[in-house]
Amino acid sequence: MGDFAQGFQMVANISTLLWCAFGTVLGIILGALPGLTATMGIALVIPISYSISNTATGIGLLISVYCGAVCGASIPAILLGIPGNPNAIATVTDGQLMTKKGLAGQALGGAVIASMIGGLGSEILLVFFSPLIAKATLAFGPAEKTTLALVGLVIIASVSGKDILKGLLMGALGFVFAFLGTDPISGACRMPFANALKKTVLAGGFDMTSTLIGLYGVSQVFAELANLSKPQNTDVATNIGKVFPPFKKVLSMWQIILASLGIGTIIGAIPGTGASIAVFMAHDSASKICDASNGKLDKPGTGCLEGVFAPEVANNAVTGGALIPALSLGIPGDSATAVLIGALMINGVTPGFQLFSTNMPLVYSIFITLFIANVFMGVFQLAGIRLYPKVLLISQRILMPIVLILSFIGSYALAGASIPKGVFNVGTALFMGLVGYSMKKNGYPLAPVVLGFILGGMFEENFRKAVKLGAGTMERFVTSPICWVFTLLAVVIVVSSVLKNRKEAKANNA
Amino acid sequence: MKRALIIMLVALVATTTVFAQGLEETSASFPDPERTITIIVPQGAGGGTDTFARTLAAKMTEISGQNFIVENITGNSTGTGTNEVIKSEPDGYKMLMYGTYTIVGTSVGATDGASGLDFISGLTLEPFVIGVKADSQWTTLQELIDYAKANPGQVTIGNAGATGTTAVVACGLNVACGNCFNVIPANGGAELQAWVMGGHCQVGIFSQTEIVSGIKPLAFLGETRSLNENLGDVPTIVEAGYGDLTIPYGCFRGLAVPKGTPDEAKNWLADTVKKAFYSDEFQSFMAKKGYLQTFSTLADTDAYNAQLMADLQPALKAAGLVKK
Amino acid sequence: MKKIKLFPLVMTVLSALYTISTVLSEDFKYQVDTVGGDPGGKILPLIMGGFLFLGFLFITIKERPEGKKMDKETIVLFLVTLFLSIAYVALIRQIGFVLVTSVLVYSLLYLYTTIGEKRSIAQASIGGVATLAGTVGFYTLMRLISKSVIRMGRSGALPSFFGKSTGGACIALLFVVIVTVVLTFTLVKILSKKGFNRPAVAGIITFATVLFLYVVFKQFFQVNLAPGLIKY
Repeated sequence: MGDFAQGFQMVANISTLLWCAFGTVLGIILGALPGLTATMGIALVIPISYSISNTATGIGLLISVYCGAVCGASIPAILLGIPGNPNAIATVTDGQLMTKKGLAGQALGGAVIASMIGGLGSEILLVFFSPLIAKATLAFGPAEKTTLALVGLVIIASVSGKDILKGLLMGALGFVFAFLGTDPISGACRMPFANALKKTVLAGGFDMTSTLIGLYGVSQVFAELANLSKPQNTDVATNIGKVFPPFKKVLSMWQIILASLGIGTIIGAIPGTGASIAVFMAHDSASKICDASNGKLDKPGTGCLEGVFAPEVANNAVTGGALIPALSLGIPGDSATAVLIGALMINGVTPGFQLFSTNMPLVYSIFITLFIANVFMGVFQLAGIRLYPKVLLISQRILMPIVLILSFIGSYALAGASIPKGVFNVGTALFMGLVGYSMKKNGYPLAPVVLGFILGGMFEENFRKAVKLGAGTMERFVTSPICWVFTLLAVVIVVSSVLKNRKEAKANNA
Repeated sequence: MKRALIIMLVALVATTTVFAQGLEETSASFPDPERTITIIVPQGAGGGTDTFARTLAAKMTEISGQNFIVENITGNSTGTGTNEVIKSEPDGYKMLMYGTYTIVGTSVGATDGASGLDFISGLTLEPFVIGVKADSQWTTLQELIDYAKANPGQVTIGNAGATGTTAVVACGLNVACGNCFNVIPANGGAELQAWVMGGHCQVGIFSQTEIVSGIKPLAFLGETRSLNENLGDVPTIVEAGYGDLTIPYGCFRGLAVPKGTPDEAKNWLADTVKKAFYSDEFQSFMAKKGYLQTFSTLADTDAYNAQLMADLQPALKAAGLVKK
Repeated sequence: MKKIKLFPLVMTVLSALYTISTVLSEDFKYQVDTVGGDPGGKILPLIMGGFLFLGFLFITIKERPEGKKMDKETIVLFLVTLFLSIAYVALIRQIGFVLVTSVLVYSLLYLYTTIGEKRSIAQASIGGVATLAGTVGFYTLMRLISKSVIRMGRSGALPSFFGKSTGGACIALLFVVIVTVVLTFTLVKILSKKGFNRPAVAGIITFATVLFLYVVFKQFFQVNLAPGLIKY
């Protein structure tokens, strides 16, 4: 307990609170602007944290930016349909549908509450089960990650809608988009005309976030053009509606919350996975839970709170999850925590198990600032919540050019200092926007492309590494119990969704 | 109405030109105080090179008052970031954190590398460490290599990426030991740490800061013992009995600007780097982390790099990293 | 001859080309040791390329287009938006962020807000030129102010906060807000009364958007927005 008191003393001062508040607000702004990511935000404030004499305060600032940025990304996703960064990718569908129904306030409020639950819940797991979870994630080698990607990929079957062939084709298209670029093992340039292109920015392949911004944000502008000539109707948006989701409703979603919390924390803790996978898995598990609830819960994907809650709990749970291996093993769980570890080292702290044995007060102070950051994140984002939906009062005719330019500049900004890469990212966003538009127009689902794109690379890379580790054999898959469990799970998901589709088809025919 | 508009336009254009001239005048001498000097790190945020660059950038900002920032531009075997600097305006506002990885990137044809760059300074050489899982059966490098030779192809050795410096080390070691290892590239140092700690891959080539408590260091690839506070008792490769292995033992790092940058800018930058490098704080940072100092500036760095490139050729060939 | 759907047809051709180029490309096996065992980087691309080809071929043969067509207005909007976006990507590097963004945003705003109305090319272009000149002019003024503030912050005439780039950016943001508000209530109001409503509104929104994006992305968050023609 003495350690805790000491840790508490390190952060129990006004300046820590002020820096955390500043970091959270900055994080929310960063998250809400497309193209500015948590990773970039942390990198930006490193010089500031370095100049703060109290190490615990400096770390608090970094963690606040991290939490704020993940939460803030839900704002443009819900209101404008632009996923500002990959964390919000699964929030877009239900968030946009809720906005169209006039429930923007509740979607935004729900997202904040969900983010707080996710952030604080994963912190509890971090505080009490950190060594255990860290050990468990070490069991994830290439073979286990291959099967994990497989579980993610079979979600394609359940998000494909009526036409399963089209869904699978779009999944394959996502794979191909992911393949263009650098070969994940040999590092060679793998694309048509490789010799001519390998010294250009194209050699790096499509940037993931620009692709997402294009597929969702830019394609929406093109799709909306047909509606612009109709008389503009702003009635829906003027009524912001209730901001807080009914308490009963939140309680009724306890299964979804727990499932998403678990998925987010675990996936976040496995190095080299990331929030974009976690949010899709959480969204899918939420629909499974709804199916089993006999109509008590609304089905995600139809524009309901459940569909916003699941990914938002998951993406903030990833923040706590990613800190688990970072603090207890010294291995970053995602790119944002990689920067965080670098910043800790600059501040003179070496993360890893020694930290727990030698500098427990500092560990406690990190936990406390994480708690403060999560609370501030909720408070500050809720404070402005009646303000954000005012954006919807603007006529679509004026909003669409702004959405377009925000999508472009967001993609551009992802390249940071590199102008050629920035221009290539804008090109990617435009190209993907046209792809997305053609898909919508012809009745092809969007989500499988995104899943294929995110998981395709991970699947191929880890599969090849697992086989190479086994010197050309599948031995690694056979000997790992985790692989068996995941493969079985994948089979169960496919069979159950095929059966469900059949049942629905029969019901429709009858 | 029209006339009013035209008058306004003319007035605007006139003021703009005046202001513009004023602005351009102020930016005549290097460095322009409002402009930020960017150090491009062609590797991911959070890694050893990135941490080194950020610490240096913070010190340079503090010493000069000029704003130095670090940007990570990754991809294409560090070629994307390097090409970005080579193709940028040679005005001194964009620098590259040059390194052994750039030589590898040049060798595989991802970039033109040193031929498109002018050096500002050489900074450090960071020797690598051969590590295994903490509870592994091997306690010395000799045991490991003997076991691998007795069971060829059974021992897996990982590196941080197929076109990184650690790959050159891993492949060099493999060739020197008679091709007895199974060499595997990971996606960055963090993944390699997880692999070795989780027992998925038995041996890893790490940088010093990556040796955490779950990893047991077997040998330090420097000529003398590591300066890193945690690695002082790790035997060097010479002490381990393999002093005759001709493998590159570390990652060199330096700063470079695009070719054609004016001397005024280069001298200013070299001077600032020197001050930051020899500041007490930075010196103690390097000592703590175990970075060896190889400080040189401008032409001296050119010569150093040329020697390094020549020395690396055999190992690059062994690693299959020479462009056909 | 029956009509066929364009999208699956294009995709069939593209996936065929992708598959062929994959077959022809070198292999990406990781071969640096005698153990080997990497299955190589061609298998999955080939499977996916082949699957895409067969799947889209099937859909091309099976599905027939329905007679839904875009109306003329939408086609115009679509083509102009597409053309301007492509031009934006192609020119941002040479011309620079401030100019191309102004042109894109102004043109789209004018086009979209005048749907169903009679458009006057003369009015639109006068408005466009005025917007461009105004944006560049105030941009220059803004940069001059933020530069001077930073200089004064460094020399000690102002608190040291203003010597940092963030300090200059705060002043620039304040400047953009004030100028936007002032212009909205003076110039735009007057112009609207004179029948210049549409270009004036499009112009002021363009002005505010461009400068706001510049301040936030470039000055606060250090994104390297392409300078292009405007070198300072």
